[in-house]
Amino acid sequence: MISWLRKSQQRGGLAARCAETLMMLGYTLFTFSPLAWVFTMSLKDTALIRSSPYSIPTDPRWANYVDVWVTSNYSQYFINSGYAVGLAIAVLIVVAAMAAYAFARMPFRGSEYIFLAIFTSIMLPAQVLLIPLFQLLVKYHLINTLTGLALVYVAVQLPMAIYILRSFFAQIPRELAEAARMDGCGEWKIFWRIMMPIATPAISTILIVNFVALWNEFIFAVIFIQDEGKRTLPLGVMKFVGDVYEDLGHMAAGLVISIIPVLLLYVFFSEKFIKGMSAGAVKG
Amino acid sequence: MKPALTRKRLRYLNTAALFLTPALLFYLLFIVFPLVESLVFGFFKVDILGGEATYQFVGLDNYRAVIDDEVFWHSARNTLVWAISSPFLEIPVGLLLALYLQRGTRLTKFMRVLWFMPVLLPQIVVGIIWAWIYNSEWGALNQILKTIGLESWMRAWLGHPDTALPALIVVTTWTWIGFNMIILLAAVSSIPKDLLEAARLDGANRLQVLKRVIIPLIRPVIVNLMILCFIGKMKVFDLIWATTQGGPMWSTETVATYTVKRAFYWNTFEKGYPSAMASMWFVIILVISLLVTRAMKKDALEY
Amino acid sequence: MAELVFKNLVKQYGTNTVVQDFSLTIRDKEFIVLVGPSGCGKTTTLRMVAGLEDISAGEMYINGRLVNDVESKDRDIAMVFQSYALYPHMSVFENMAFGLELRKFPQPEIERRVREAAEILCIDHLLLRKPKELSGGQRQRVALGRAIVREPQVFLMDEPLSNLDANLRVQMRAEIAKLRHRLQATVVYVTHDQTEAMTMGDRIVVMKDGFIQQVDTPMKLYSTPANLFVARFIGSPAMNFLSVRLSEAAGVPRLSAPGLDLPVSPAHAARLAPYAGREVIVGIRPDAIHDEPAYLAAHPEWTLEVRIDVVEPMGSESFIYFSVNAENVVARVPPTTSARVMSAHRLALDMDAAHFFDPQTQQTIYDAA
Repeated sequence: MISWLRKSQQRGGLAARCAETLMMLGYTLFTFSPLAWVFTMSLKDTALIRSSPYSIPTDPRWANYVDVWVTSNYSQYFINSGYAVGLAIAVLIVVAAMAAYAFARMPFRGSEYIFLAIFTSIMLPAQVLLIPLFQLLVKYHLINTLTGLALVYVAVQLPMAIYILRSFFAQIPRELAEAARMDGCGEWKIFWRIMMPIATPAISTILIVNFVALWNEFIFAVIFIQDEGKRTLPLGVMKFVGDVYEDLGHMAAGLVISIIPVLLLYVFFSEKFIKGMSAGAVKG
Repeated sequence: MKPALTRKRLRYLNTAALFLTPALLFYLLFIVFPLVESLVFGFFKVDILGGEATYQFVGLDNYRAVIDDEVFWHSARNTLVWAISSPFLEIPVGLLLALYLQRGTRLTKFMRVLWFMPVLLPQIVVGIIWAWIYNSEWGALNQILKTIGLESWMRAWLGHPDTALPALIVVTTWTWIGFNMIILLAAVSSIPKDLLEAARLDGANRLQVLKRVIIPLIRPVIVNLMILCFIGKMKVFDLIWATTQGGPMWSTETVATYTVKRAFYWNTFEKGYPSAMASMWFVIILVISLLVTRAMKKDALEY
Repeated sequence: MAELVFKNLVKQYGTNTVVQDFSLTIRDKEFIVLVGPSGCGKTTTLRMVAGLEDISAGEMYINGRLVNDVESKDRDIAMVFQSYALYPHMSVFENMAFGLELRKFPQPEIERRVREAAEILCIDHLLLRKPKELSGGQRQRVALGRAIVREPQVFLMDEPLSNLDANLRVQMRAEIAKLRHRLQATVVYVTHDQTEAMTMGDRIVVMKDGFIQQVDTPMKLYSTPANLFVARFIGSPAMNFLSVRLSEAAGVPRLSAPGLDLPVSPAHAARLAPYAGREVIVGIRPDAIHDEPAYLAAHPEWTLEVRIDVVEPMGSESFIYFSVNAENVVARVPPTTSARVMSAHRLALDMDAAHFFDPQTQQTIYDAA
């Protein structure tokens, strides 16, 4: 891309170039090997892990996965996570898109300040909300429910989603909405039949960002969810931590299960993930 | 001009309100209301023993107690060390990697995807994996030290007050370098090529180009990343919860973990004290972020 | 049947008035063109007809019905946008069918209308494509088609040809002109291009700074512009203007300026009488300047000698540029002209075809009624 880098490399000579490439490969190993290691662990039993932690398993114990999925309740955690995250994202997209459309296309006196107020809440640390939210959820019998957790997720993810969608809606040409109005649409239909379909790229960004953020979310979940049967995956993963008799093979298999959905999607849509995750990080 | 309230104008405002209402409900109910309540709780003794909460106004007592709380000062110090050191670790390394990726070969495309990956992992999982890496008996770090003949360096990394915090800072750095790298890569790529070539022709070497041209040009992005990184580390919770849980000897306690412990794990019936602590920390984050933004943000440069 | 009546329409943004006191009656099935430089209020006027802009004051009637507060969708109007505004996520068919679908037309009827319109516009082979797979000209046709299928009483077109390249523009201009006869609807067409206005409009509304300057048929606008602005705006190349003083010699009024001294045509003598001894602006169209020897011989009193600055041979005609009293003048002459750059040339101004304007009011000087 930038030729000056390449030119100077040639001047620097082959040795420097090789050293540089080696360093970069080293860094690649540094980012990747912990995961690869956990994967090998997930196919061994605890005794083998302790005796030779870095061997490649010759006789892979796939049973770890079955055990974890069935007996350790991971199937339930998986469903719970899927429910909370799915509900939160579905509500989030509708709520955020509606607000973003109003901010982008129906400005009124003060609407910019409302937007800024919502956007600023991105900075809030979770712990400042935890105590009152806990009491609020208790009051409305939503504590220890995945639905309550999902509602909190919607609220905390709202600012970023509104921000991304608002800038997207703002750059859709006005004529499209006007053409739709002449075709017979009211605002509601313009929004659903024209704006939302056009906003698909922004919506998929929000889908990705929130899927990653919420699938991995811990602090709200650990405070608001107490029942074993309602744990999300990060809570399930934590179950054995600190347990003296921890079954390392099972734990590793559990870790792999909990990160597989995100990683699998990342393999197929890595560019979309990278773009989506960095959206909105630079501006603002 | 103030638009007259015609029927059309009313209908317009009505529609706007309709579109905003769901978001505002969420915002008011789950963000504004709890935030205000937290700020208010800080001045009360809040006792929720027996289901019904009782409130007793105590003025600044909670805040005085926080100031006198040695554990709070441990937490504050640890959190600040984390929040201040992280930007200077993540961003320079991220920039170096971004500059390497700039040349865009097939190998670098592959690397880019791998380097970014840690961001996608839950911090809980990252914490557990790194706790294993730091494990004193069979952990990877000690094994490597043994292999290269540095047996004397081997230790229980997370088990010692001197090494636990730095060890965890390494983990967040490992996680977030890739993220910073991607943003910086985008920023560096947007610098016009002729500008760098002009600098080369002016006789600048690589380091000078980096220092005198690239960094000044992407300065706004760097400032943003630093603030983002700072705020993120001021809230660190998951990683500690999955590894040291604040120990040993408060050496990895952060304000977030300490607040949660005080609110939900120690004396779970008194909410005034943790509210005061959380509110105070929120105000500190807000003030520092605003100050840093104002001090460091020059007007964006035009190419 | 669609008659549009505007009574003293006003559009204001804050303190800024963009359309002032706009009164006009557009007859049923009339093709009316709003023309003027950018910022003259023509698009705003069109958008008020569409219902996309509120009317600040005045009244607008469609078929006698006051529509100031009627929503666009209830006005039975279709509009072709400058940017076409095709829905990017819908196919050509869906784009055209959308308005009908919203109005709850039965599916077979939608199908029939879309196909018919597509055939007329020669886009029937594109019905399944998305807008991004179409060329500019094809998008233009789809935008037209979307308006046609609705069979509205009034068509609004906002600079529909301005995004096309020159060749395509001429072609589409002819097609729209052809189309309007099939449509049997009233058309309001906005453009900044006077050629488009002249070739397409039954009547043309010339606007400037929010005010209507003149409303008339193309030929009348050309032959009897109401003021300096219209005279300058209509016609290409534009009319030439010279500041002259009305003098008199031997009972005949004459136009005098440095390098110029011509007798006024007897037909104009009466209207100029009040201006005797004063300044007037005389306007001469490029085609009213002649250099054919026969013409010069026939009208020796209108001839003058100039220095030629530029000669532009166009093939069927030539444009010659020169200056009179420091004003640039262009003449359209036969290609056989003997004019040579930088050399002296004799030509004649056809004073029968001259226009006169009052330098203060900028209005055309007419015979006293």
